[in-house]
Amino acid sequence: MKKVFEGVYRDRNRIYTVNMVPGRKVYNERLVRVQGVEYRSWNPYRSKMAAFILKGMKHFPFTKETRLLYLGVASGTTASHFSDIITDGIIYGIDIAFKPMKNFVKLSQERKNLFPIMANASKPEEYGAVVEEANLLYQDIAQRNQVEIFTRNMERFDIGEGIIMVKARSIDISKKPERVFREVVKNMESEYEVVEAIKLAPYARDHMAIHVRT
Amino acid sequence: MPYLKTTWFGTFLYDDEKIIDKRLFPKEAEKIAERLHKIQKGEVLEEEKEFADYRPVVDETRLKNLGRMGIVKKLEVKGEDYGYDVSLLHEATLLLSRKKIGEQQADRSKRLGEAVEALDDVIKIINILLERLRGWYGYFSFGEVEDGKELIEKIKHLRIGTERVDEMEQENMANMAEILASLYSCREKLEDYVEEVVKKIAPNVAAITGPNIAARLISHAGGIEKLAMYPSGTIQLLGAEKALFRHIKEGTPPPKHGVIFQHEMINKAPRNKRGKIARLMATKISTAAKADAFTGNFIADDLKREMEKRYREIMEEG
Ligand SMILES: C[S@@+](CC[C@H](N)C(=O)[O-])C[C@H]1O[C@@H](n2cnc3c(N)ncnc32)[C@H](O)[C@@H]1O
Repeated sequence: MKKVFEGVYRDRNRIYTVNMVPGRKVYNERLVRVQGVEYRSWNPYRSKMAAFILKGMKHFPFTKETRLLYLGVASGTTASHFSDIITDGIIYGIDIAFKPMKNFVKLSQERKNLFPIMANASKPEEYGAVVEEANLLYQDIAQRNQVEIFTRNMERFDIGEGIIMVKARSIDISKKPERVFREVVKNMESEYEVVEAIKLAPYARDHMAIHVRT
Repeated sequence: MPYLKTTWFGTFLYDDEKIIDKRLFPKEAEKIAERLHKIQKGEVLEEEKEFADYRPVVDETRLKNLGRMGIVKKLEVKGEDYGYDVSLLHEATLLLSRKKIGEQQADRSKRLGEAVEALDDVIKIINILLERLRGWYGYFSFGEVEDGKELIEKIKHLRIGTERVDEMEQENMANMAEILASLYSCREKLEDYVEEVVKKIAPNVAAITGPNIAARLISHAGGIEKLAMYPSGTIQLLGAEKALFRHIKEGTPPPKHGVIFQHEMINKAPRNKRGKIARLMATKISTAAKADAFTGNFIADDLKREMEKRYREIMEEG
């Protein structure tokens, strides 16, 4: 196991995080033991963040103490790996749908750094009181107004850094993904410093990861 | 003018220099969850109302009548500074999420209940119109037309001139027939919808009782999880709440069955056996609901076989 980033390890073409709850799988991922440490394999086809890393991400903003606001946490597939990485921090996981939330609540019971919040990410006022402080935003919401949701939350919680997973087809199905990506990146550049922008194919089709700073 | 801001552990009144006053929440996860829930629903907390006299600057629309909207200075306080451990917030978010999930589920099952009742309404209306049109059409033909759809076709093809019908009369009959036709399609779509939803959330119960009765049970219980937690005696009486109430208040005979009475295994059975069969069915529904809510296994084939076997025994008893 070779350490690639804080809390992220690589062995040949797979990446891993250290399992915070040894023996437990979250989404039927592979568990491997190396020198007494249990690692969970991080599947890039199931998690866009893993795809981002494998596609050559250079600037990894997570630390052990990160306080992450996660919009569109769903059942917690990706959040579980963040939970492994951010051992001394907090992950506020927001999702609007109750079905995935049910799973995420179960996951949060055994992982003390996961805080489930069932709410609409376009209404940060409604969960503002729960989010005491955040210094990183991660968003994976397939919605037409996903960029607006992102900026609204960055502002509301005074967050200086964020990653957004953009799904071209949900922003505008009539335009070519390439064109949507160009427009979104330009849009982002007018508000933030764009650290990296990487397409996630072949792991996730028509998706792009954009990492920004204020 | 001071600012007002509410965090997960209390409400703060402060200005550019200092905290002027505060109302801390009780150090209990449940009480905190209650307040966070209120905030999410757009309500104003009692703690916040106490600062109304200051007409503070606020930045949430739910508080706009308390003071005035404006830019609020960032509040630099942490729960830990006041002895609120972060595990308290963790517990509160778990409680609140579970509560909201429960509410949504109950809401969904009530909407499913609306669909089943809409189906009842549509069937009633169909029967009223059908009876009317049969009688009316009877003047133009000998012998009853049994099938509703056939009747619609016949009315549409009534020939003016050849069959003593005049133009306006034919037009009105055809209009009614048209409505009847669209009610039929409405009924089919509602049935499809109810069946699809029920088979998704409760495949086992649906297999035991049929989708229609399953939908009513789920809606009365307020969700499949709730249904799964009821004892079978309660399941047997779901939907008979009124009769049960009358029994308690006025001493009328106690009800033996609720919505499951609509199942022909019960309503076609001789009176003296209905109670027994209802109990049998309720037991199987209870097991089926637990599988749907908790394990997700499909066990209805076995359950149904057992139920039918026992049913035959009951029917053969003297
Ligand atoms: C693609 S999934 C996220 C998958 C997840 N990030 C992962 O990698 O495990 C998108 C999620 O966004 C949620 N969502 C969509 N619109 C939302 C909104 N306005 N507020 C909060 N969540 C939303 C959906 O319910 C869905 O669970």
